[in-house]
Amino acid sequence: MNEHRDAREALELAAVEPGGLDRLEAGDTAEAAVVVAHLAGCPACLEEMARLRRADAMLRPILFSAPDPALRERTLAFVRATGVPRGASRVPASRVPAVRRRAPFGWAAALAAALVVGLLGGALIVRVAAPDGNADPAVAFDQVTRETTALIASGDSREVVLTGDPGMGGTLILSPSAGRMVVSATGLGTPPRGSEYRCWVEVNGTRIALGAMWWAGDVAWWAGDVAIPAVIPPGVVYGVSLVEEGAPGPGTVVLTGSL
Amino acid sequence: MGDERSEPPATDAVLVAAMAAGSEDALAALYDRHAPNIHATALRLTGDRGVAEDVVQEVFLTLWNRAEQFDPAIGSLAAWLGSIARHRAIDRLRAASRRPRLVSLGAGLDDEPAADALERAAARRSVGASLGAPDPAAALDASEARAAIAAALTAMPDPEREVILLAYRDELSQSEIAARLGWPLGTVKTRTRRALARMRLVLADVYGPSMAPVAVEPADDSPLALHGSGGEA
Repeated sequence: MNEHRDAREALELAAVEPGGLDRLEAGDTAEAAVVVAHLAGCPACLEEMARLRRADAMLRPILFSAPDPALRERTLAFVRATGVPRGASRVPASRVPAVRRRAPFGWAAALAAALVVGLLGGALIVRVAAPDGNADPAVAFDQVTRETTALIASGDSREVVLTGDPGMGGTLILSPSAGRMVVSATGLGTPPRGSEYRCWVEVNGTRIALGAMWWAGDVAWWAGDVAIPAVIPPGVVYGVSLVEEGAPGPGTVVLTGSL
Repeated sequence: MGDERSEPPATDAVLVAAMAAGSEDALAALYDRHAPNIHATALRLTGDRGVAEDVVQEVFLTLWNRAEQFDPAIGSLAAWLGSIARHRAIDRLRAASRRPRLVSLGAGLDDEPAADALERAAARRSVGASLGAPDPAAALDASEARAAIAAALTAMPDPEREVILLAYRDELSQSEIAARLGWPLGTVKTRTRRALARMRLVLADVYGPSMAPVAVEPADDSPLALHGSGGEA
Protein backbone atom coordinates (compact mmCIF):
# COMPACT_ATOMS: atom_id res chain seq x y z
CA MET A 1 0.00 0.00 0.00
CA ASN A 2 1.39 3.35 -0.97
CA GLU A 3 -0.81 6.36 -0.26
CA HIS A 4 1.02 8.66 -2.68
CA ARG A 5 0.76 6.16 -5.48
CA ASP A 6 -2.87 5.42 -4.87
CA ALA A 7 -3.78 9.07 -4.51
CA ARG A 8 -2.03 10.02 -7.71
CA GLU A 9 -3.59 7.23 -9.66
CA ALA A 10 -6.99 8.34 -8.45
CA LEU A 11 -6.20 11.96 -9.28
CA GLU A 12 -4.97 11.21 -12.79
CA LEU A 13 -7.88 8.99 -13.65
CA ALA A 14 -10.30 11.56 -12.27
CA ALA A 15 -8.60 14.32 -14.27
CA VAL A 16 -9.37 12.77 -17.63
CA GLU A 17 -13.11 12.71 -16.96
CA PRO A 18 -15.07 15.95 -17.23
CA GLY A 19 -15.54 17.27 -13.70
CA GLY A 20 -13.76 14.24 -12.35
CA LEU A 21 -11.44 16.12 -10.02
CA ASP A 22 -14.36 18.07 -8.56
CA ARG A 23 -16.21 14.84 -7.86
CA LEU A 24 -13.14 13.29 -6.31
CA GLU A 25 -12.51 16.34 -4.16
CA ALA A 26 -16.08 16.21 -2.91
CA GLY A 27 -15.17 12.94 -1.23
CA ASP A 28 -18.57 11.42 -1.79
CA THR A 29 -17.36 7.86 -2.16
CA ALA A 30 -15.24 5.76 0.17
CA GLU A 31 -12.31 5.85 -2.27
CA ALA A 32 -12.66 9.59 -2.76
CA ALA A 33 -12.79 10.14 0.98
CA VAL A 34 -9.48 8.31 1.40
CA VAL A 35 -7.89 10.48 -1.27
CA VAL A 36 -9.26 13.68 0.26
CA ALA A 37 -7.90 12.67 3.63
CA HIS A 38 -4.51 12.04 2.07
CA LEU A 39 -4.53 15.39 0.29
CA ALA A 40 -5.20 17.18 3.56
CA GLY A 41 -1.84 16.09 4.85
CA CYS A 42 0.22 15.87 1.68
CA PRO A 43 1.30 19.15 0.04
CA ALA A 44 2.98 17.29 -2.82
CA CYS A 45 -0.18 15.47 -3.86
CA LEU A 46 -2.19 18.64 -3.37
CA GLU A 47 0.19 20.41 -5.74
CA GLU A 48 -0.14 17.49 -8.14
CA MET A 49 -3.89 17.97 -8.17
CA ALA A 50 -3.44 21.67 -8.92
CA ARG A 51 -1.12 20.84 -11.79
CA LEU A 52 -3.55 18.29 -13.14
CA ARG A 53 -6.25 20.94 -13.12
CA ARG A 54 -4.03 23.33 -15.07
CA ALA A 55 -3.03 20.66 -17.53
CA ASP A 56 -6.61 19.55 -17.99
CA ALA A 57 -7.75 23.10 -18.70
CA MET A 58 -5.27 23.27 -21.57
CA LEU A 59 -5.50 19.69 -22.72
CA ARG A 60 -9.24 19.22 -22.88
CA PRO A 61 -10.01 21.77 -25.61
CA ILE A 62 -6.95 20.77 -27.59
CA LEU A 63 -7.72 17.07 -27.56
CA PHE A 64 -11.42 17.69 -28.08
CA SER A 65 -10.64 19.45 -31.35
CA ALA A 66 -7.59 17.42 -32.33
CA PRO A 67 -7.76 16.06 -35.86
CA ASP A 68 -7.92 12.34 -36.37
CA PRO A 69 -4.27 11.25 -36.79
CA ALA A 70 -5.32 9.33 -39.91
CA LEU A 71 -6.42 12.61 -41.50
CA ARG A 72 -2.78 13.45 -42.16
CA GLU A 73 -2.26 10.64 -44.63
CA ARG A 74 -5.70 11.15 -46.16
CA THR A 75 -4.94 14.82 -46.74
CA LEU A 76 -1.53 14.19 -48.25
CA ALA A 77 -3.04 11.55 -50.51
CA PHE A 78 -5.85 13.90 -51.51
CA VAL A 79 -3.42 16.65 -52.45
CA ARG A 80 -1.21 14.17 -54.26
CA ALA A 81 -4.14 12.92 -56.29
CA THR A 82 -5.87 16.19 -57.10
CA GLY A 83 -3.32 18.98 -56.76
CA VAL A 84 -1.59 20.70 -59.62
CA PRO A 85 1.47 18.84 -60.90
CA ARG A 86 4.68 20.06 -59.34
CA GLY A 87 8.30 19.08 -59.54
CA ALA A 88 8.18 15.83 -57.64
CA SER A 89 6.96 12.69 -59.30
CA ARG A 90 3.27 12.13 -58.99
CA VAL A 91 1.59 9.07 -57.64
CA PRO A 92 -1.13 7.71 -59.92
CA ALA A 93 -4.54 8.27 -58.44
CA SER A 94 -5.19 4.54 -58.56
CA ARG A 95 -2.53 4.09 -55.89
CA VAL A 96 -3.95 6.69 -53.59
CA PRO A 97 -5.71 5.29 -50.54
CA ALA A 98 -9.38 5.98 -50.20
CA VAL A 99 -10.03 9.56 -49.20
CA ARG A 100 -13.09 10.14 -47.10
CA ARG A 101 -14.46 13.31 -48.50
CA ARG A 102 -17.51 14.43 -50.31
CA ALA A 103 -17.43 14.32 -54.08
CA PRO A 104 -20.06 16.83 -55.11
CA PHE A 105 -19.48 16.51 -58.81
CA GLY A 106 -20.06 12.80 -59.06
CA TRP A 107 -23.76 13.21 -59.54
CA ALA A 108 -23.57 16.62 -61.12
CA ALA A 109 -23.39 15.51 -64.73
CA ALA A 110 -26.90 14.14 -64.69
CA LEU A 111 -28.12 17.22 -62.90
CA ALA A 112 -26.30 19.51 -65.32
CA ALA A 113 -27.96 17.90 -68.30
CA ALA A 114 -31.35 18.36 -66.72
CA LEU A 115 -30.55 21.97 -65.87
CA VAL A 116 -29.54 22.80 -69.41
CA VAL A 117 -32.71 21.30 -70.79
CA GLY A 118 -34.81 23.10 -68.22
CA LEU A 119 -33.15 26.46 -68.72
CA LEU A 120 -33.23 26.27 -72.48
CA GLY A 121 -36.87 25.42 -72.23
CA GLY A 122 -37.46 28.62 -70.33
CA ALA A 123 -38.54 26.91 -67.16
CA LEU A 124 -36.69 26.95 -63.90
CA ILE A 125 -36.49 23.44 -62.62
CA VAL A 126 -33.78 23.79 -60.04
CA ARG A 127 -34.32 23.43 -56.38
CA VAL A 128 -31.12 21.90 -55.18
CA ALA A 129 -30.71 20.81 -51.64
CA ALA A 130 -27.30 21.01 -50.12
CA PRO A 131 -25.14 18.90 -52.40
CA ASP A 132 -24.42 15.72 -50.57
CA GLY A 133 -21.53 13.73 -51.91
CA ASN A 134 -22.90 10.64 -50.34
CA ALA A 135 -25.88 10.73 -52.63
CA ASP A 136 -25.70 8.89 -55.90
CA PRO A 137 -26.86 10.67 -59.06
CA ALA A 138 -30.28 9.11 -59.09
CA VAL A 139 -30.95 9.99 -55.48
CA ALA A 140 -29.67 13.52 -55.95
CA PHE A 141 -31.79 14.10 -59.04
CA ASP A 142 -34.84 12.76 -57.30
CA GLN A 143 -34.15 15.11 -54.42
CA VAL A 144 -33.86 18.06 -56.80
CA THR A 145 -37.11 17.18 -58.50
CA ARG A 146 -39.03 16.82 -55.26
CA GLU A 147 -37.68 20.05 -53.82
CA THR A 148 -38.39 21.95 -57.02
CA THR A 149 -41.95 20.74 -56.99
CA ALA A 150 -42.33 21.74 -53.37
CA LEU A 151 -40.96 25.22 -54.00
CA ILE A 152 -43.32 25.87 -56.86
CA ALA A 153 -46.16 24.53 -54.76
CA SER A 154 -45.40 27.08 -52.06
CA GLY A 155 -47.47 29.54 -54.06
CA ASP A 156 -45.36 32.59 -53.30
CA SER A 157 -42.22 31.87 -55.26
CA ARG A 158 -40.68 34.78 -57.14
CA GLU A 159 -38.27 34.68 -60.05
CA VAL A 160 -35.35 37.00 -60.81
CA VAL A 161 -33.71 36.97 -64.21
CA LEU A 162 -29.94 37.36 -63.97
CA THR A 163 -28.11 38.88 -66.92
CA GLY A 164 -24.50 39.43 -67.85
CA ASP A 165 -22.30 39.37 -70.91
CA PRO A 166 -23.75 37.83 -74.08
CA GLY A 167 -24.12 34.12 -73.67
CA MET A 168 -24.38 34.32 -69.90
CA GLY A 169 -27.64 34.11 -68.01
CA GLY A 170 -29.27 32.79 -64.93
CA THR A 171 -32.33 32.61 -62.80
CA LEU A 172 -32.92 33.04 -59.12
CA ILE A 173 -36.05 31.75 -57.52
CA LEU A 174 -37.05 32.42 -53.94
CA SER A 175 -39.95 31.62 -51.71
CA PRO A 176 -40.63 33.61 -48.52
CA SER A 177 -42.85 30.93 -47.08
CA ALA A 178 -40.31 28.18 -47.74
CA GLY A 179 -37.39 30.40 -46.72
CA ARG A 180 -35.38 29.03 -49.59
CA MET A 181 -33.50 30.49 -52.48
CA VAL A 182 -32.09 28.81 -55.56
CA VAL A 183 -29.69 30.32 -58.06
CA SER A 184 -28.75 28.72 -61.35
CA ALA A 185 -26.69 30.04 -64.23
CA THR A 186 -25.39 28.96 -67.60
CA GLY A 187 -22.73 30.25 -69.93
CA LEU A 188 -20.33 31.22 -67.17
CA GLY A 189 -17.84 28.57 -68.09
CA THR A 190 -15.76 26.46 -65.78
CA PRO A 191 -14.24 28.70 -63.12
CA PRO A 192 -10.45 29.01 -63.42
CA ARG A 193 -8.50 26.84 -61.04
CA GLY A 194 -8.42 28.49 -57.65
CA SER A 195 -11.60 30.48 -58.30
CA GLU A 196 -15.29 29.87 -57.82
CA TYR A 197 -18.63 31.43 -58.52
CA ARG A 198 -20.40 32.92 -55.54
CA CYS A 199 -23.91 34.26 -55.41
CA TRP A 200 -24.94 37.21 -53.28
CA VAL A 201 -27.69 39.60 -52.36
CA GLU A 202 -27.23 43.35 -52.11
CA VAL A 203 -29.56 45.31 -49.87
CA ASN A 204 -29.22 49.05 -49.38
CA GLY A 205 -25.78 48.92 -50.92
CA THR A 206 -24.55 46.17 -48.60
CA ARG A 207 -23.60 42.96 -50.33
CA ILE A 208 -24.19 39.73 -48.45
CA ALA A 209 -22.58 36.54 -49.68
CA LEU A 210 -24.89 33.56 -49.96
CA GLY A 211 -22.34 30.92 -50.78
CA ALA A 212 -20.13 29.25 -53.31
CA MET A 213 -21.92 27.73 -56.25
CA TRP A 214 -21.60 24.18 -57.37
CA TRP A 215 -20.87 23.75 -61.02
CA ALA A 216 -20.72 21.08 -63.65
CA GLY A 217 -19.98 21.65 -67.27
CA ASP A 218 -21.69 24.87 -68.25
CA VAL A 219 -24.02 25.09 -65.28
CA ALA A 220 -23.52 26.64 -61.86
CA TRP A 221 -26.05 26.58 -59.05
CA TRP A 222 -26.59 27.26 -55.40
CA ALA A 223 -29.46 26.65 -53.01
CA GLY A 224 -29.94 27.34 -49.35
CA ASP A 225 -32.10 28.67 -46.57
CA VAL A 226 -32.58 32.42 -46.53
CA ALA A 227 -34.78 34.48 -44.25
CA ILE A 228 -36.99 36.26 -46.78
CA PRO A 229 -39.68 38.76 -45.76
CA ALA A 230 -43.11 38.35 -47.28
CA VAL A 231 -42.79 41.78 -48.84
CA ILE A 232 -39.39 42.20 -50.40
CA PRO A 233 -38.29 45.83 -50.36
CA PRO A 234 -37.43 47.50 -53.65
CA GLY A 235 -33.85 47.96 -54.65
CA VAL A 236 -32.62 44.51 -53.68
CA VAL A 237 -30.06 43.30 -56.22
CA TYR A 238 -29.11 39.70 -56.73
CA GLY A 239 -25.98 38.52 -58.46
CA VAL A 240 -23.14 36.12 -59.08
CA SER A 241 -19.44 36.92 -58.95
CA LEU A 242 -16.29 35.08 -59.87
CA VAL A 243 -14.14 35.08 -56.74
CA GLU A 244 -10.74 33.72 -55.95
CA GLU A 245 -11.12 30.89 -53.45
CA GLY A 246 -10.41 31.95 -49.92
CA ALA A 247 -10.30 35.60 -50.88
CA PRO A 248 -12.65 37.89 -48.97
CA GLY A 249 -12.95 40.45 -51.78
CA PRO A 250 -16.01 40.99 -53.95
CA GLY A 251 -14.51 39.42 -57.04
CA THR A 252 -15.80 40.11 -60.55
CA VAL A 253 -19.53 40.45 -61.00
CA VAL A 254 -20.73 38.26 -63.85
CA LEU A 255 -24.51 38.30 -63.38
CA THR A 256 -26.98 40.66 -61.76
CA GLY A 257 -30.74 41.09 -61.63
CA SER A 258 -33.60 42.35 -59.53
CA LEU A 259 -37.29 41.78 -59.14
CA MET B 1 24.58 8.63 -28.16
CA GLY B 2 23.93 10.70 -31.21
CA ASP B 3 24.56 14.32 -31.77
CA GLU B 4 21.82 16.11 -29.89
CA ARG B 5 22.28 19.37 -31.74
CA SER B 6 19.50 19.83 -34.19
CA GLU B 7 18.79 22.15 -37.05
CA PRO B 8 16.37 24.95 -36.23
CA PRO B 9 12.99 24.22 -37.73
CA ALA B 10 12.52 25.51 -41.24
CA THR B 11 10.40 28.62 -41.52
CA ASP B 12 7.02 28.52 -43.18
CA ALA B 13 8.43 30.51 -46.08
CA VAL B 14 11.19 27.96 -46.63
CA LEU B 15 8.75 25.08 -46.46
CA VAL B 16 6.29 26.73 -48.82
CA ALA B 17 9.08 27.36 -51.32
CA ALA B 18 10.16 23.75 -51.07
CA MET B 19 6.58 22.61 -51.49
CA ALA B 20 6.17 24.81 -54.55
CA ALA B 21 9.15 22.99 -55.99
CA GLY B 22 7.30 19.72 -55.48
CA SER B 23 8.41 18.57 -52.05
CA GLU B 24 5.73 16.47 -50.41
CA ASP B 25 7.87 16.32 -47.28
CA ALA B 26 7.52 20.08 -47.02
CA LEU B 27 3.78 19.75 -47.42
CA ALA B 28 3.74 17.15 -44.65
CA ALA B 29 5.77 19.43 -42.39
CA LEU B 30 3.37 22.29 -43.03
CA TYR B 31 0.47 19.96 -42.27
CA ASP B 32 2.03 18.98 -38.96
CA ARG B 33 2.54 22.61 -38.07
CA HIS B 34 -0.80 24.08 -39.12
CA ALA B 35 -3.42 21.35 -39.44
CA PRO B 36 -4.33 21.23 -35.73
CA ASN B 37 -5.28 24.91 -35.72
CA ILE B 38 -7.09 24.69 -39.03
CA HIS B 39 -9.05 21.69 -37.82
CA ALA B 40 -9.88 23.40 -34.54
CA THR B 41 -11.08 26.50 -36.39
CA ALA B 42 -13.25 24.49 -38.75
CA LEU B 43 -14.64 22.36 -35.95
CA ARG B 44 -15.39 25.42 -33.84
CA LEU B 45 -17.28 27.01 -36.71
CA THR B 46 -19.14 23.98 -38.00
CA GLY B 47 -19.45 21.69 -34.99
CA ASP B 48 -19.06 18.79 -37.41
CA ARG B 49 -15.92 16.67 -37.45
CA GLY B 50 -16.59 15.38 -40.97
CA VAL B 51 -16.95 18.88 -42.37
CA ALA B 52 -13.91 20.04 -40.43
CA GLU B 53 -11.86 17.27 -42.01
CA ASP B 54 -13.09 18.26 -45.45
CA VAL B 55 -12.06 21.83 -44.75
CA VAL B 56 -8.58 20.72 -43.71
CA GLN B 57 -8.18 18.82 -46.96
CA GLU B 58 -9.40 21.75 -49.02
CA VAL B 59 -7.11 24.20 -47.24
CA PHE B 60 -4.03 22.11 -47.92
CA LEU B 61 -5.07 21.54 -51.51
CA THR B 62 -5.37 25.31 -51.88
CA LEU B 63 -1.99 25.78 -50.27
CA TRP B 64 -0.43 23.29 -52.65
CA ASN B 65 -2.09 24.77 -55.72
CA ARG B 66 -1.43 28.40 -54.84
CA ALA B 67 1.88 28.21 -53.03
CA GLU B 68 3.36 30.96 -55.18
CA GLN B 69 0.81 33.42 -53.87
CA PHE B 70 2.08 33.22 -50.31
CA ASP B 71 4.15 36.28 -49.47
CA PRO B 72 5.54 36.29 -45.92
CA ALA B 73 6.04 40.06 -46.22
CA ILE B 74 2.28 40.49 -46.36
CA GLY B 75 1.24 38.18 -43.57
CA SER B 76 1.89 34.92 -41.81
CA LEU B 77 1.05 31.58 -43.33
CA ALA B 78 -1.06 30.76 -40.29
CA ALA B 79 -3.19 33.83 -40.90
CA TRP B 80 -3.56 33.04 -44.58
CA LEU B 81 -4.52 29.43 -43.99
CA GLY B 82 -6.83 30.45 -41.17
CA SER B 83 -8.62 32.84 -43.48
CA ILE B 84 -9.06 30.17 -46.13
CA ALA B 85 -10.30 27.74 -43.49
CA ARG B 86 -12.88 30.17 -42.16
CA HIS B 87 -14.23 30.91 -45.61
CA ARG B 88 -14.37 27.25 -46.55
CA ALA B 89 -16.09 26.35 -43.29
CA ILE B 90 -18.67 29.08 -43.68
CA ASP B 91 -19.29 28.13 -47.28
CA ARG B 92 -19.78 24.56 -46.18
CA LEU B 93 -22.30 25.62 -43.61
CA ARG B 94 -24.20 27.64 -46.13
CA ALA B 95 -24.05 24.99 -48.79
CA ALA B 96 -25.25 22.37 -46.36
CA SER B 97 -27.97 24.63 -45.03
CA ARG B 98 -27.04 23.59 -41.54
CA ARG B 99 -28.38 26.79 -40.13
CA PRO B 100 -30.71 29.49 -41.32
CA ARG B 101 -28.95 32.28 -43.11
CA LEU B 102 -28.47 35.49 -41.22
CA VAL B 103 -29.47 37.38 -44.32
CA SER B 104 -32.30 39.83 -43.90
CA LEU B 105 -33.81 41.33 -46.98
CA GLY B 106 -35.61 43.90 -44.88
CA ALA B 107 -34.67 47.54 -44.65
CA GLY B 108 -32.00 48.94 -42.32
CA LEU B 109 -29.33 46.41 -42.96
CA ASP B 110 -26.87 47.14 -40.24
CA ASP B 111 -26.20 43.47 -39.59
CA GLU B 112 -22.62 42.56 -38.98
CA PRO B 113 -21.13 40.42 -41.70
CA ALA B 114 -22.47 36.91 -41.44
CA ALA B 115 -18.98 35.48 -41.15
CA ASP B 116 -18.22 37.68 -38.16
CA ALA B 117 -21.49 36.79 -36.49
CA LEU B 118 -20.85 33.14 -37.06
CA GLU B 119 -17.36 33.38 -35.62
CA ARG B 120 -18.64 35.24 -32.61
CA ALA B 121 -21.36 32.72 -31.99
CA ALA B 122 -18.93 29.86 -32.40
CA ALA B 123 -16.50 31.45 -29.98
CA ARG B 124 -19.22 31.66 -27.36
CA ARG B 125 -19.95 27.97 -27.56
CA SER B 126 -16.37 26.91 -28.06
CA VAL B 127 -15.04 24.51 -25.50
CA GLY B 128 -11.63 26.01 -26.07
CA ALA B 129 -12.68 29.62 -26.15
CA SER B 130 -9.85 30.57 -23.87
CA LEU B 131 -7.43 29.35 -26.50
CA GLY B 132 -8.79 31.88 -28.89
CA ALA B 133 -7.93 34.77 -26.61
CA PRO B 134 -6.76 37.87 -28.42
CA ASP B 135 -3.48 37.91 -26.48
CA PRO B 136 -0.92 37.19 -29.25
CA ALA B 137 1.48 35.45 -26.90
CA ALA B 138 -1.26 33.22 -25.56
CA ALA B 139 -2.46 32.50 -29.08
CA LEU B 140 1.05 31.59 -30.13
CA ASP B 141 1.43 29.26 -27.16
CA ALA B 142 -1.93 27.69 -27.89
CA SER B 143 -0.97 27.18 -31.50
CA GLU B 144 2.33 25.65 -30.49
CA ALA B 145 0.61 23.44 -27.94
CA ARG B 146 -1.90 22.20 -30.50
CA ALA B 147 0.84 21.30 -32.94
CA ALA B 148 2.91 19.62 -30.23
CA ILE B 149 -0.03 17.65 -28.90
CA ALA B 150 -0.97 16.56 -32.40
CA ALA B 151 2.60 15.43 -33.02
CA ALA B 152 2.65 13.56 -29.72
CA LEU B 153 -0.63 11.88 -30.58
CA THR B 154 0.75 10.72 -33.89
CA ALA B 155 3.91 9.41 -32.28
CA MET B 156 2.39 7.61 -29.29
CA PRO B 157 1.53 3.90 -29.32
CA ASP B 158 -1.85 3.19 -30.87
CA PRO B 159 -3.46 1.82 -27.68
CA GLU B 160 -2.52 4.91 -25.70
CA ARG B 161 -3.73 7.24 -28.41
CA GLU B 162 -6.98 5.34 -28.61
CA VAL B 163 -7.78 5.61 -24.93
CA ILE B 164 -6.80 9.25 -24.54
CA LEU B 165 -8.93 10.29 -27.51
CA LEU B 166 -11.88 8.27 -26.31
CA ALA B 167 -11.52 9.91 -22.92
CA TYR B 168 -11.13 13.50 -24.06
CA ARG B 169 -12.74 13.66 -27.47
CA ASP B 170 -15.62 11.26 -26.94
CA GLU B 171 -15.74 11.93 -23.19
CA LEU B 172 -16.11 8.27 -22.28
CA SER B 173 -15.44 7.05 -18.77
CA GLN B 174 -12.78 4.46 -18.07
CA SER B 175 -15.42 1.76 -17.77
CA GLU B 176 -17.04 2.82 -21.02
CA ILE B 177 -13.69 2.74 -22.80
CA ALA B 178 -13.03 -0.73 -21.43
CA ALA B 179 -16.39 -1.89 -22.68
CA ARG B 180 -15.92 -0.20 -26.06
CA LEU B 181 -12.51 -1.70 -26.68
CA GLY B 182 -13.00 -4.98 -24.88
CA TRP B 183 -9.96 -4.40 -22.71
CA PRO B 184 -9.63 -5.07 -18.97
CA LEU B 185 -10.36 -1.96 -16.94
CA GLY B 186 -6.89 -2.06 -15.40
CA THR B 187 -5.30 -1.99 -18.85
CA VAL B 188 -7.39 1.00 -19.83
CA LYS B 189 -6.35 2.84 -16.69
CA THR B 190 -2.67 2.12 -17.16
CA ARG B 191 -2.70 3.23 -20.79
CA THR B 192 -4.71 6.31 -19.96
CA ARG B 193 -2.23 7.36 -17.30
CA ARG B 194 0.70 6.83 -19.63
CA ALA B 195 -0.92 8.85 -22.37
CA LEU B 196 -1.85 11.60 -19.95
CA ALA B 197 1.70 11.78 -18.68
CA ARG B 198 3.00 12.14 -22.23
CA MET B 199 0.56 14.95 -22.85
CA ARG B 200 1.60 16.72 -19.65
CA LEU B 201 5.24 16.58 -20.65
CA VAL B 202 4.34 18.14 -24.00
CA LEU B 203 2.44 20.89 -22.21
CA ALA B 204 5.39 21.42 -19.88
CA ASP B 205 7.62 22.01 -22.89
CA VAL B 206 5.30 24.78 -24.05
CA TYR B 207 4.00 26.30 -20.83
CA GLY B 208 6.66 25.42 -18.30
CA PRO B 209 7.24 22.90 -15.53
CA SER B 210 4.07 23.77 -13.67
CA MET B 211 2.29 21.49 -16.12
CA ALA B 212 4.54 18.51 -15.41
CA PRO B 213 3.84 15.88 -12.75
CA VAL B 214 5.16 16.69 -9.29
CA ALA B 215 8.23 14.64 -8.54
CA VAL B 216 7.50 11.78 -6.21
CA GLU B 217 9.53 10.77 -3.21
CA PRO B 218 12.48 8.51 -4.00
CA ALA B 219 11.03 5.66 -2.01
CA ASP B 220 7.78 5.91 -3.85
CA ASP B 221 7.36 3.28 -6.52
CA SER B 222 4.73 5.33 -8.24
CA PRO B 223 3.97 4.37 -11.80
CA LEU B 224 4.26 8.07 -12.63
CA ALA B 225 7.75 7.28 -13.86
CA LEU B 226 6.43 6.93 -17.33
CA HIS B 227 9.72 6.88 -19.09
CA GLY B 228 10.42 3.62 -17.33
CA SER B 229 9.12 0.26 -18.32
CA GLY B 230 6.11 0.11 -16.08
CA GLY B 231 4.13 -2.99 -16.73
CA GLU B 232 0.50 -3.05 -17.66
CA ALA B 233 -2.29 -4.25 -15.49
